[in-house]
Amino acid sequence: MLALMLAVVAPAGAATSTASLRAAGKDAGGIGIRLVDAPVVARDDPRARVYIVDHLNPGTTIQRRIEVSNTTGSSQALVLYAAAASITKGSFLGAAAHTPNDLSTWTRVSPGNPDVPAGGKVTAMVTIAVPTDAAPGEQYGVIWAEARSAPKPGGGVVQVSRVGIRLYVSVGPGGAPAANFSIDSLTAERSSTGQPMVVATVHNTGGRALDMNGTLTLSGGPGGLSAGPFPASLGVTLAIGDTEPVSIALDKQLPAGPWDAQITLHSGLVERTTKATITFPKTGVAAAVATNSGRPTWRYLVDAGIVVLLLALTILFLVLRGRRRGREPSNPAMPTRARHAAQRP
Amino acid sequence: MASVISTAFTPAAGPAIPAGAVSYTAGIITKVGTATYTANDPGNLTGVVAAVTETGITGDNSATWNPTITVAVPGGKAAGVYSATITHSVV
Repeated sequence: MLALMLAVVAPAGAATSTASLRAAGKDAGGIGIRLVDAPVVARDDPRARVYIVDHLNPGTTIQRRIEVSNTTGSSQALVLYAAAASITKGSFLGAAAHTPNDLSTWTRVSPGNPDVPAGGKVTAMVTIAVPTDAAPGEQYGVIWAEARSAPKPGGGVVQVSRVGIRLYVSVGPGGAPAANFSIDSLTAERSSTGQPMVVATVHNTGGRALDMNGTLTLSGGPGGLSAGPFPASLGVTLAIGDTEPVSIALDKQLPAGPWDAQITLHSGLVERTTKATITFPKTGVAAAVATNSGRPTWRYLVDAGIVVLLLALTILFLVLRGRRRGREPSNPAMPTRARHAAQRP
Repeated sequence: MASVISTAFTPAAGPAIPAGAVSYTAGIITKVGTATYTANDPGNLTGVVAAVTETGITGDNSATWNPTITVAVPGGKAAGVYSATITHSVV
C-alpha cells in the first residue's frame, strides 16, 4: 500500500502570507490518497496494488475504493475527480486542472467533495463505466484529491495541492494485450560530478504501458571484484512503442572496469534480464554496448546440432523406406504366381 | 512524480502577466529515506512541468521543500493586485 503525501508550503508573495504559513509549524502535514481495492487476479502485480491497472471489455463497469487522508492540523475540504493524463518522454504526467479525456468522462468519484477532519480518513468509491462503443486501446488518467487555499479578498495567489492515483485502463474485447519490453543496450557514463552511471535503453514492444524498475549487478571486475545490486531510478514510464533510458547511479569509489554488467528490469510481472561488458569512461559517455540475453554460445551449438541430427534421421528414414519399396514386387499379381510355383511339386 | 503549473497572473483590469514569466525554485529539499531528489527548477510554468525528480527510491521515502515562485514582471504593467493559481500535483 502506498500513501502519497504532499506537504508543500509556498511563500507566495506578500510578507504576511509567508509568516502565517511558516507559523503553521515545521511538520505541517498534508493530504494523502491510496488505493484500497485491487483485483484478485492481479494480487501478485505490485503495480495493480498502487495504481488502477485493468483491461476492460466495452460495456463493463468496475468499482474501486480509495482512501483520502488528512494529516494537517485542520479540517480540509477536498475535491475528488478524474482527469486526463499522458505519458510523454518517459514520464506519466497528469494534465492541468480538470482536463478531460474519454477515460475521465467514464469515471466518477463519490463522494466528490468530502470534508476530511484533521488527522482523519475518508473512503470514496471510484466507478469506471466503459461504454459499449468504446474504442480499443490503453488510456491514461488520474483520480485526484485536491485541496485549495482560500482566495484572499482582492486577489493574490491561490495554492492548489493535489495528490492522485494513476489510471492505466486498457479497453478491448477478449483478454488483455501482452506487455513486453526489450533492453537494447547499456551505456556507461560518468556524470560531471564524477559519479559513474549506467543507462539502459529500453524499448516497449508490448501492448501496455510500463513502469520500469530493477537492479544492476556488476561482476568480474578489476581484481575479481563484484558490486551491487544497484537500484534503477524510478519514475520512468514507457508508452507503447516508446524507447526511453533507465539510469542506474553507482558509487564513485567503483573502479572503471571492465565489468560484466547484468541488468534485470521489470514492470509489474514482466521481467527481463540481459548482460553486457562495460567500462566507465573518465568523463562523459562511453559507446553504447549492445546486450545479449546471456545464453552461452555452446547452447546455440547444441540447438543447431539437434536440428542437424533430426534432419539426418528424417533423410535416413526416407531413404530406407524408399529402398524397402524397391525390394518388394511392384506387380500385385506376382505373389500369386510365386505361390503357385512353390506349390508345384 | 511532483509537477507544478501556474495560471497567468491576471489583474482586476488590464493585460495579464503570462505564466511563462513565472519561474520556480525548490530550494533546499529535506528528505527522509535513501532516495535522491533533484530540483528541476523550471523557468516557465505555462504547462505541467516536473518540480522535483526522484532517483534511487527503495522503501519508504518522503521529501519536503519550500519553493520560491518568482514572477518577472514585464515593464509597463499597471499597479494593482494580480491573481493566479499555482497547482502542485503528485501522482
